[in-house]
Amino acid sequence: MKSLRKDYYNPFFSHIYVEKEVLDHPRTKRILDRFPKAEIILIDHYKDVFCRRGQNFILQQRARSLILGAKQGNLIYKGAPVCQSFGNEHFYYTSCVMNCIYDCEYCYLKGMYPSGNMVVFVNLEDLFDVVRERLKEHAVYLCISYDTDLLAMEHTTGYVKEWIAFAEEQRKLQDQESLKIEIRTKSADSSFWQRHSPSPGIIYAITLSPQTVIDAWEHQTPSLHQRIASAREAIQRGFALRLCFDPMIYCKDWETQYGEMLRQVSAGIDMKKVEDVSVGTFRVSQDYLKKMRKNQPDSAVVQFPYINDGGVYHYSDELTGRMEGFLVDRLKREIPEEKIFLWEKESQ
Amino acid sequence: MIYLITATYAEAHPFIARFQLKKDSSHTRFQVFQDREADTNRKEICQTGIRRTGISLVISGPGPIPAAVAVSSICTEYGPGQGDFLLNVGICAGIREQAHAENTLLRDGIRRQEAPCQIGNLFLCNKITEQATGRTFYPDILYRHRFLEARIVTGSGIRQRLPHSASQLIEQRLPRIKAEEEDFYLYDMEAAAVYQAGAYFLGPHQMSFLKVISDEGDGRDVTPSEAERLIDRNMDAITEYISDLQNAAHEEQSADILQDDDIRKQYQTPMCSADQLIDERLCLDLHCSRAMSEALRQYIRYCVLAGIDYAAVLENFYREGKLPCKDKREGKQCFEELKKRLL
Repeated sequence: MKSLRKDYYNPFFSHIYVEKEVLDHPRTKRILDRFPKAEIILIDHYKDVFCRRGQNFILQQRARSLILGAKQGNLIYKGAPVCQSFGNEHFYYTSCVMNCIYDCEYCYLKGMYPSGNMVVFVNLEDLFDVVRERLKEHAVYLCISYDTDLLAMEHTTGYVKEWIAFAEEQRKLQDQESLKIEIRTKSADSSFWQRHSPSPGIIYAITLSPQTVIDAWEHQTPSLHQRIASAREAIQRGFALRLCFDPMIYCKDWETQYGEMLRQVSAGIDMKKVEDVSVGTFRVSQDYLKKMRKNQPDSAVVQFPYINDGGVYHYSDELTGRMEGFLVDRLKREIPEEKIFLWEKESQ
Repeated sequence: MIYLITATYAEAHPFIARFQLKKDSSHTRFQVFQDREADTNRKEICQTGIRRTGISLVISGPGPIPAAVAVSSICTEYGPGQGDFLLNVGICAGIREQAHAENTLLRDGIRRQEAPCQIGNLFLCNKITEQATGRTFYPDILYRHRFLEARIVTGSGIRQRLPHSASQLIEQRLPRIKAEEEDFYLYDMEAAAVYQAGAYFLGPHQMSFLKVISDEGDGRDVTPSEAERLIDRNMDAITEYISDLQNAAHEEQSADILQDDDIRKQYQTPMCSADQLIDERLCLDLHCSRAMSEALRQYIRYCVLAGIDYAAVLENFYREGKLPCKDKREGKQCFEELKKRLL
């Protein structure tokens, strides 16, 4: 039976809040042009809307508004301890977009942000300047799609294209690959691979989960089948691809589910051509989980009795070992061990 | 529950008639009108904690301070929750700055929708500025509606049309009141106060501000019958909006319990009985400390949500004589084993 519930809510981006300072910015105009029917509301600062008291993250996700602003202060951050650096010494991440169009119940964004609305920062050039400065000092490994899914937003923002152009420019200037950019995504938009060419220094990291996990907790995301098809096309067209089996989520028959997922992955993707893979079980900071549990009291994945270890919640060492061990053992049959990155190994 | 706040009886009367609201004479400071459901609601919340839908209307009197006090008063009495909404409905002035009027539609290629500044037009306010402080508030516009939208400025007195020079002086001193890029806005005497008082009890997604233009802000008196007529002619649209809010809240509350799978369909009751079981029996039988009982509750909560038959596991523990434990030490060991068996 079809639910009528969603009919009460406004469509996504029916309301766009724009900082007065960026009203005339070309990216603002470009994005607003995509939503000609949207109600435009002028604001002084993005936090006036994004950081209001008493917002309901879950309800706002049903009728997301878009906020366009300028990012100020610290523009790039050192990689967090819960994230993998893939052996890169100078690991940074940046957030040119805050929040994600997908709705994964276990996502830390639900505990990190006070609002379900999305913020797009239009002053990319300021971010590029900071990266240029860092590059004068050392090589940079930069993750640009952590606090959002940039590829899933590409039709709206065109930011991946801009980052590719920036990386190309730096490669020509530096005459070596001193800038490496990771774009993490659950998107399965194959047309992206058709519209763009592979670029050295850009690695696309596709997150894969068993279909049962997708159905239960990764709402509005492409199916495993679609993600595999997209990954296959990317590899065939020569794009550097990372497969992320991270976060692995516990369910009663996780061995069967993850085993079946790997079977589908190795049947659909030429694993020899994969750049590397990452493996990691779910982990999240205690402050975020506290909010996630409050926001989603009936979500099994956030209500799991995780172990708190130094402010980070995770599965017990025994369960973590079993889950990650299972996946790594299977992956070793397909891909050299040095290409498998395990978060736990790196952090210890 | 819908909390309606109007400034005057004239603005309230169309609601009293449409929803057959009855005066609650127990309120002496403000006139309060309720439907039958709201009345039952109040009594039931006090007695049982169970919440129902209904409409409660408060006539605050004109001006920001009466509006804030009225909101505070009714919200304190009822203690609004997740499925409740606060609606501020009333008349307002519609101000169009002639000097900029022609620039409104197209500004550097960005399309702006013209908001017809006509008497009788109804608006949903998406931005509320308090004239005295320059502070701005943004109620969430999550729900579909068929109104025009506009921003509103709340002042403490009736807006007068001043001589041009005096008007310019005021505008210069209060730069946020009339942002140069916004040529049309509404003006009232309550919205900002209602929002600020309401924000102590409700989220920005639970407050809506519906305003009907009654004049051009030139100081002209609006008679009570005029005010009533202006609200009344928009009553169908407002009623539909109220009904949608109630339905959305109802579906949301149901959805919290009734998700797609069978486990969640039965979540509420099992968790209640699980809580009872934990409190009354398990904690005692395991000799739980406070931390241990919290951990136990988290395990059982997960089992209920994930569809794990924790009751059967516990039954086995009792059958095998592992429960009840004789002391704290044995309780700890038993809990460790229980955790393993549950997952």
